[in-house]
Amino acid sequence: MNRFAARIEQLPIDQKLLWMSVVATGAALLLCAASLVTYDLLTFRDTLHNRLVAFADILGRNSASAVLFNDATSASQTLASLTPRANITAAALFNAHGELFAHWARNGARNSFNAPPSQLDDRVSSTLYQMEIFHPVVLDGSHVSTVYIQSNLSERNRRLMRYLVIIFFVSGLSVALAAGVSRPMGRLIAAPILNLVHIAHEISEKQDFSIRADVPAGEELALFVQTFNEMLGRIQASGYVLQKAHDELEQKVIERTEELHRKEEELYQSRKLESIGRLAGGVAHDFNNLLTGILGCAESLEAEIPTDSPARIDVEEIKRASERAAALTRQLLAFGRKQIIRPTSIDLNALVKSTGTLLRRLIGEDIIIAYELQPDLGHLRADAGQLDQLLINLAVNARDAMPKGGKLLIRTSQVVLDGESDPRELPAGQYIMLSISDTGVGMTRDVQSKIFEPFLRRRVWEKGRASASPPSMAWSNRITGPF
Amino acid sequence: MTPRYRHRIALLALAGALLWGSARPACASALAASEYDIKAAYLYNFVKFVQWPPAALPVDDKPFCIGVLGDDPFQGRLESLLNGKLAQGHPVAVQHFKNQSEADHCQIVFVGVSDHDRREAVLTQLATSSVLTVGDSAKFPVDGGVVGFDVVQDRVRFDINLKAAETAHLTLSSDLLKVAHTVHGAPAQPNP
Repeated sequence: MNRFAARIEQLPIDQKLLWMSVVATGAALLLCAASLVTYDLLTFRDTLHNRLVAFADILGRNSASAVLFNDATSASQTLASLTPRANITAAALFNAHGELFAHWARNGARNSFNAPPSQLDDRVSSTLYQMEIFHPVVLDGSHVSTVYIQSNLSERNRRLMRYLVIIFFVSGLSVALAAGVSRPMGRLIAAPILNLVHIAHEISEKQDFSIRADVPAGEELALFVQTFNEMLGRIQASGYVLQKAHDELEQKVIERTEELHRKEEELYQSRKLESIGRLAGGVAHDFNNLLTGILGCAESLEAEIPTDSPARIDVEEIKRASERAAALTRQLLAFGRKQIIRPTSIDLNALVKSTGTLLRRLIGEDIIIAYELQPDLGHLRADAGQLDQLLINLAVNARDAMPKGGKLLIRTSQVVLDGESDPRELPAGQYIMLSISDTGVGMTRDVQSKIFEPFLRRRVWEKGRASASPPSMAWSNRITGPF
Repeated sequence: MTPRYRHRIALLALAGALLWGSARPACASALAASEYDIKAAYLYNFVKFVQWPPAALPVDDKPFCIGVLGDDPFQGRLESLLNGKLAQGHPVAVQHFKNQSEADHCQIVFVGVSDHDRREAVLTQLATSSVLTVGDSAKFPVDGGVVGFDVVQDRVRFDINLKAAETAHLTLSSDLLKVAHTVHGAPAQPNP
């Protein structure tokens, strides 16, 4: 039984339904048939009894004269008239005294018959296979004889057989009908579920939680599919949040990685610059000693040469160039030793003008340097040497951007920032702006962000023209904050 | 063996002989009695298979008459058998007659007349009076009676004269004819 149940459990829904309807129909039909057959068999017993009594009565009347006038032959003939009645197997006649008068049996001789009951009434007794009756015959008020008839129940068995055949065919037909009806019904019920399975498969295959199942008609299935869709919605929503977090995380990782690379690069550059700076510092120190010698010699020469001598102009030029070289070496020393920055109040216009002479020499003849300096600019606090270096860095980068010549414009002005429009997100306030522009090839946004860095054109740096660039790195790090 | 014993044996033999002798007539009379018992029963049984014209039947609570004309071979058996019995709803009365003219109101008359001439006269007298005449010989229906007893192979049978029944306006049941030994006056129906 359990194995049968397990087997049923494994069947698809439409086949389960098929089995259910077939079994239910079959059981109902069998119950119906069983009650009908039972009723018919019970009725049949009464019918047969009545028929046997009627036979006995006719037989008794027909044989009354034979019994009364002691004509056993005639009585036997009368009994033999039962021969065509196939289901009657034996019959006997008893006279009024209960003595056996005549008898008849279908198959062979049967001589022993039970005595009839002494009471004058009908007696019936039946077994599984036969029925026998005693029927008293009363003629004109007096008991003439008692008729005994025995009948087999072959007719009942025949009926039973017919019923079984009919039940068999009707059951078969009904079961087939039930199967025929329940098959499309089963498909109807299974289809939405199979559809759901298909959709679930599709979702897992495509990883697409936006797919939704069609909601079928019918209470439970509709609820089922709706709940399934709701579940998909939740999964989709949580998946979206997860994806967003994931994307953000990834973006952050990319940004941080880039930043890390950049910092590494900067660190590398800083270290490189540091060693170069140290070298430059060493060189500047020695060079400064040489310059001290040159300047000392030039001063003593100036004292010896008469004031009107034409050589005096040359000596003065030697002195000036030496002083400028000494200033340059001081700058180099400041960079190389990473001197502590000493901000002082500076007139930017004056600083630009004094550095302009140096720039003239640095960037060559084919580039015109123009100044647009706002008068009454006011003072700002910065390290003059650093600012010098920044100008030199920018000018050198500009020169590199204009290999065939051009124009370098240096401007100073006062600006007021509102704290919002500026991309560098400087707080609102009054600022002094130094702007340097050239007529070169222009620069990308990427390059723009590195414009304060030295050696922007690496190629240029590799050619060995690094003289003006190293200090601007340290400086630009400091200048990114507001003054 | 002593003469005393011999005497005793003779006595026993005498007694046995006496017993044997007395037993024989007793047996014979028993057989005869049995025959007339049956015939008496038959007489009563005829009532069930014969239909009399309504006018010939007794009215109200008058008795159904079964008469014995002449000698009575039943010797009282008829009375004892039919005592208290009903025939077609009437009590049965057994009556004895010497003269046939007294018997024509009866429904059944057993004619115990052995004399041939007298029997003829009786039958002529009763022929049309709706009386079922019953005789004690096979010749009786041949002579014009309706039913005649006969003993065939140790069995009591009866013959029927249908014409005589017709003349007496009696209708005999086919069941009666079926068990009759011989039916006279029925050309269409061959005798069994």
